[in-house]
Amino acid sequence: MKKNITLLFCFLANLAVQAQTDFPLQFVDKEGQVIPDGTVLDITDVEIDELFGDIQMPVNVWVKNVSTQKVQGGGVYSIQSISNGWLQTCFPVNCMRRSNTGSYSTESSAFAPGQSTSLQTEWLPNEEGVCVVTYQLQTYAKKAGNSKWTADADGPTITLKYKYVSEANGISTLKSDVECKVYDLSGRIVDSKIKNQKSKFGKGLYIINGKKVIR
Amino acid sequence: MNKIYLSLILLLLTACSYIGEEERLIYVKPEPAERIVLLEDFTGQRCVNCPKGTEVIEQLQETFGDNVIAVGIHGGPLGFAGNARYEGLATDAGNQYYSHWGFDYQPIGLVNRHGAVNYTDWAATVREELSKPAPLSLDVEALLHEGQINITVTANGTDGVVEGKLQVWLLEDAITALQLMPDGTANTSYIHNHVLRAPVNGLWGEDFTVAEGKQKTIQQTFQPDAAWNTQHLSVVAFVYNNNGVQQAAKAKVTEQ
Repeated sequence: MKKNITLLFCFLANLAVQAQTDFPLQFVDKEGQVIPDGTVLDITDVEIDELFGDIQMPVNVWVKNVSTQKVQGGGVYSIQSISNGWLQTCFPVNCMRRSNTGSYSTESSAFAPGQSTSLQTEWLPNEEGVCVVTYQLQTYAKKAGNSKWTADADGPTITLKYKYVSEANGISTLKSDVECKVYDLSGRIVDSKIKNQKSKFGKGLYIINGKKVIR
Repeated sequence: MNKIYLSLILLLLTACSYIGEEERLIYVKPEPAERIVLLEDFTGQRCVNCPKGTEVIEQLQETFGDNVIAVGIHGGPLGFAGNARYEGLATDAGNQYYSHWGFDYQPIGLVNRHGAVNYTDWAATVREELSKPAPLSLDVEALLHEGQINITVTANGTDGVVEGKLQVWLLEDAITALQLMPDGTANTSYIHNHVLRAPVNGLWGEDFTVAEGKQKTIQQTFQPDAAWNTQHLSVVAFVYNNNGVQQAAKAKVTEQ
């Protein structure tokens, strides 16, 4: 009996996995490779946006219509943890910024066969901390007698685990050469360019592009 | 002979039938006013999808010309107030409007203030609004004189009594400023048009009433910020109430 239940469970689990594999919308990486359902990505790379002066942690995740049919799609996402700052998502048609935990949904948009659209999500921390968010893709349909699109099927999920620990503390690294002035608390410029690796100033509280950063 | 004349006069006097007071004048209803639609675009320089909303506006203005008045209201979490290097277009007023309407994402719009409309639905909503009659006409004149803008708004009631608020805004076109683009890149030379610079008569305007067949004139004076290009300024006036925007008008600021 126990064996039968185990087999039944395996069969149902396999059906669920099969269903997600067959789902018309899939998360893909920048090479277009499908990211398996339920994947958890750890993100520690940090960029400093020289335009707006933000610390940002972008992710290269795309959503692709892998079917041969036009699909109306969107998604839901759940922020399980956000220590500080904003989680930004610009998918598929609008941009949203959230600073609180909770469950949210996106608007929907039409995906042509083979079309890829960037998830355009990033965490913009103000200081060290974590942010955990799970996205789930959905397809939409118009119910009889209703002209509005409503979600009708759930697809694959991806969980993004952001962790921002300043470079000096050893985890997050600045991805690119970014021109920006770094001041100490007395207003003295201590660095004008941050390289990929360790900067030449030590631990402490600094002002980088108008924001306080602990290093 | 005199009796004959007297009889004729009496006959003429008695031949007049009584006409009720309400029937003595024939009322001619004013011509219906042409509907001008106000589209408030809640946008932001950090919002990568907002240029897509601007494209929709450009298409609408190409199709409907001056019958659609668009206003770019920068604010909300994706607005940018500026830093030492780049000009920000977000204003306190823009942030307050965004919060007031309880929006959740950008770009998002109000078409004659009948609730939030996603930019993908703006064209259909504008078409629907244009087909509705307007209960008043509005005309705006904005003259720049010695650094001050003298604004005259003239309203003519064309259907019933319109009660609500008159709102006057100052806009600027052709501002070159930073904008994040849909492909994720930053465009530091993006041209921003119809940007809300400031409310002229308070955040929510002033009380307003006009009756059918009557005319009302309102005057305002406003001093623009020295950093704004007065050659690219314009004034938008609109009347709104609980039933949405009743009518709108726009005029370029011209030298007096």
